[in-house]
Amino acid sequence: MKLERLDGPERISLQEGSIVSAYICLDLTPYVNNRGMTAITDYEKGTLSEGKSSFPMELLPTNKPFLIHDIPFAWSKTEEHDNIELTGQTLSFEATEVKEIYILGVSSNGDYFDQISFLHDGQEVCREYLYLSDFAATTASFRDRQALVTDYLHTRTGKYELVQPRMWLEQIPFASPCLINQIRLEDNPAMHIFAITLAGQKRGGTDGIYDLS
Amino acid sequence: MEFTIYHNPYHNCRNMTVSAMVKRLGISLDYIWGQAGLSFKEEHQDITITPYYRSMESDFSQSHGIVTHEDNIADSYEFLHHLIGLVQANHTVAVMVDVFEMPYCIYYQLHHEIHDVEIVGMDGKHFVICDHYYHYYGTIEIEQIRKAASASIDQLGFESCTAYYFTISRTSHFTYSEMDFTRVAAENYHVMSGKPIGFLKEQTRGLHIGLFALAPMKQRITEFLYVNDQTDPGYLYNLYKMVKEVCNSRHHFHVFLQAFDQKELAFDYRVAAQHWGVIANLMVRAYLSKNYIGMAPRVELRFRKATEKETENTEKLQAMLM
Repeated sequence: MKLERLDGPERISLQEGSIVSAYICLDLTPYVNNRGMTAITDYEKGTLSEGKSSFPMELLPTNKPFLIHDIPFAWSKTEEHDNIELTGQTLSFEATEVKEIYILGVSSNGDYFDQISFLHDGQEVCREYLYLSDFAATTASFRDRQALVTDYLHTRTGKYELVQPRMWLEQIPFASPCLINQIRLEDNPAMHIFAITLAGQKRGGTDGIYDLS
Repeated sequence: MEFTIYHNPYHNCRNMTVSAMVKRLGISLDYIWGQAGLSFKEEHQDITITPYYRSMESDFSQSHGIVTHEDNIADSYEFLHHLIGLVQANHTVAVMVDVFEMPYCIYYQLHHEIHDVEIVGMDGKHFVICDHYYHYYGTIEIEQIRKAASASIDQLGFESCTAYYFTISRTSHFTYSEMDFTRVAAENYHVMSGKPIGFLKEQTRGLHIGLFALAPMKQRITEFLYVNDQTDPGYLYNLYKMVKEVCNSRHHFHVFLQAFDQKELAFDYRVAAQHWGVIANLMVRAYLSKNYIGMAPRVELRFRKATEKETENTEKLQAMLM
């Protein structure tokens, strides 16, 4: 699969209202509220678990986008946060006809699943389960797949080499394409989303779009 | 001999260690953690929440052919001598320690808490241990284990150092039958319907059983959060541990139901486990962030879902048993 960012006029010329088949990496920056990645210099600042766990940033992909199982993803980082701890948020984005949704995430203190709703202008279009295994698990507990693993975990005391934390890839297929512009999450603070990519047809601009061909 | 760490987030450190040890004896873990009742007991300021109605020891011995041996010795040097004897007799032995004294642990020299580890062998002046909860398989000085066991008395108020191990009394071709399934499912149903079974018969004062425990449990926990009394944070942490155990029990009953091919009902119990897990996690977030009041309505909301699911599951269990 060829992956190219469609960011120049020589690659694509989108008119307003045109439709592009693409992977769309959602910008989750407005919603991130938890720290799940830390540099070695501030290893104690992770908040994935009560032991102040986090993924070591030096071992995570840095390119944008990066590929996991051939799917492009992008981190959404602010100075303090890099993932969404589920507290019942509604994520809004440009209307997209979605065939499939890919989520990178983890659970902590157990393997968790909860409902996830897909909406268009506030109206629920469909509802599914979102499954994310524990970051400390060595195999997936649900249908999710291993996305990446690091050699050690950061905790309150530094590098913890007894646990090789894993991030999981959850793939939610829709029976038929759904036009959505919002995702509603449940209140489940053990579940953490690091990145979301939609596969479908985006209506409007080209932000975050990556070629499917 | 190589030993493998057994990690399962749906066990506390005691039951995780026990599971690893009985698994070594050839016991299938799918069948032994089937108790999924509920009781709430309030006496003065003390609250006890538990999904269990029989002690693990009596359940293991009566239903699974597993004999539990527990040794309590107050003198830590005498205790160490006894431990070495057990390990030399080729038993793997669990020992109760204070995490504060375990050098590989993230709470070493930071936090006192009782913790169980399994000693699986000796290597000169070291024990070889499996700490299943903290994922550690390696050596630790024998003297360090004595100190850690002794700290359970000096720091945590236990009366003696404690070790335990298991033997089996059943035959190697032991199997579980439909009768075992019906017994466990029926007992869970009876407890959830409010009937005292096992040790619940002995303690009636302030006791609410099964579905009748849900309302007072919710009221007491949310009330505590709303009142925002943070003078004893350990109180909330203990409540969290008890609610997490309810989550664990539903998860293991789901495993038990799956083992008997009851997939649909198994999923229902897995959903119930999720609700209890969320409540527990909200409570531990309140404990860590000290934001008790902010968590209270979220706990309340999830309690509503847990209550609906427990009621529905109990009805389904009844229908299945008829």
